Order: sequence, then structure tokens, then C-alpha cells
Amino acid sequence: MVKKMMIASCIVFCISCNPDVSLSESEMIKVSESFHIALEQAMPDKDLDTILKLYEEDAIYLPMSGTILKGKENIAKGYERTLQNNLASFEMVREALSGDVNHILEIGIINAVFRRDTLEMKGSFKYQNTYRRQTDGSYLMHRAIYNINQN
Amino acid sequence: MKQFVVLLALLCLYFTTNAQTGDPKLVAIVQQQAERFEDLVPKKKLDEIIEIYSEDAIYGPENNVFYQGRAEIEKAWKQTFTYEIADFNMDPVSVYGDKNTIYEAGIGYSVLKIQGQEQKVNFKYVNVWRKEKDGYKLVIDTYNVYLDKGA
Repeated sequence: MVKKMMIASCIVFCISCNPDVSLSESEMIKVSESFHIALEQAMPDKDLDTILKLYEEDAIYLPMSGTILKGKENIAKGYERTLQNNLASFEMVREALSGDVNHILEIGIINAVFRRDTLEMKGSFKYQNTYRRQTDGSYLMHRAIYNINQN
Repeated sequence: MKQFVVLLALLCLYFTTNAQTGDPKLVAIVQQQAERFEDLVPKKKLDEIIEIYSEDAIYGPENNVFYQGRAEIEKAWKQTFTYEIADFNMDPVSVYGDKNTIYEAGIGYSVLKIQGQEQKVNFKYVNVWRKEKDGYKLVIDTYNVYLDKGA
């Protein structure tokens, strides 16, 4: 019995020691999709609470204007500025995923349509997101940066 | 037996929490890489700049597309080098990770010489470094520019 426990403990130990436990592509896609679904709905709806729930407490957000925003309070201020724009649509198109069980790195393109009165303007942006695994097994946004994409 | 379990638990705790923010060793690594960029960019030493990137690196500069792989990244940097660069600075603000992967966010500036006049361009960036056989290589490099310094 003791021997079995020691073997089991050693297995747990070995898994714990390796921070690079791989994550299948389908699992990474599943995580990424959950963020896409939430943001694609929340951004046009100007739903700041939902957006902030996607971020870690000490997350880092690098929006288009201004400097680095650290922590949810500052990130909220950044999004308040972004959400002053009227977004008719917001679509995230994933280009690449990598990482391990603890961190998922994603790059992709955001296609957005801004509405001002009756005028609609299209914008294309690149993004790089890092999702970090939490102690409960869920993932939250750890880092996010956006910049202009050339159409 | 009890001692073994306690020891094992402590070891697991140590290894599972080894991803740290602001680890001086990790900060030193990214600071050294920043200094390499600061030295090489104004001198337009393209070959040495490209060596900083991994073979499969992704580079997402402002106002352009994602470039993947050293050959493509080289093309992107060649475009940057159409300007004379009087000064280049990178300042890591947040460094997090472990011995295998380092997640860095920072701010910086370029001083470009355009038609004899100097123009300062502020930028912020997110870099991801991966440990390879010959040291840490840049695997993802994304930045955006901002005019309102300190905003």
C-alpha cells in the first residue's frame, strides 16, 4: 500500500514539476473560442463587466493609444475609452495558437465595423493574447496587445 | 512516510509556483536582449537582429501584417530600415515566466531621422522568449505605437 502511494505520489510530482505539460490543439481552440464568443458579443454591446471578467486581476493590456495598462482598474479605464466608439460588429479571427497547459498564446486579426451616425467604417487590427490557467482550471486573459493591420 | 509526503508536497508547491513575476534572473535576460536591440537597430545590423528571433518566430509590427519565420521578418525589418534611426530604446516593464518561456511587456522609443529632422516614435510591446539550444530566442514580437506619451 505504502509502495503504491509512493509511486502515485511520484507520478503526481513529475507532472507537477513539468510546467510545459502540453495541451492539445482542440483544447487550446476551445479556450480561445470561449474568449472570442464573449468579446464578440460584449464589445458591440459595450458590456464592460463581461470584458473585465475575462481578465486576471494583474493582467496587462496594451491598447492602441496610451501606455501599458496594468491591473483591472486601469484596464477598465482603457476599455471605457475604446467603448466610446460605436461598434457595429467585432470579429476575432485566430491565425495561430501555441503554448502549454499553463499559458496559451494566440495571434489573430480583429475585423471591426465602427458606426458613426449613418456612416460605417471598417477597421482591421492584429492581436496577441496570452491566456493563463487559473488554480480552478479555467483560463483568463493575462496579456493583450492590439495594433493596426494592413488590409 | 509522513515526512516523505510533506517533502513531496513542498517540492510540488515549489515547482508549480516557479513561474514568477519580476524574477531578477528573467529580468536580466530580457534586459540583455533589450540592450542588444538598442545597439543593433541604430546600426542597422540586420543579420544580428534576425538571429535574436527563433526560426518560427512571429513578428507583428504596427501598420502591417503578421510575418512568420526569419526570412519574412527580415523583409519587415528592411522596410523599417528605409529610415535612419538615430536612437532606439526598449524598457521592459513587466517580466514573467520560467526558465523555458519568458513573457515580457515594455515600452520604448525610436528616434527617426526623416528629411534631416528627428522624430520620436513611442511604442509599447509584448515579447515572448523561448529557451532554445543556443539561448533565449524571440518567438512572438508585437508592438504598437502611441503619440501621447505618458497618457
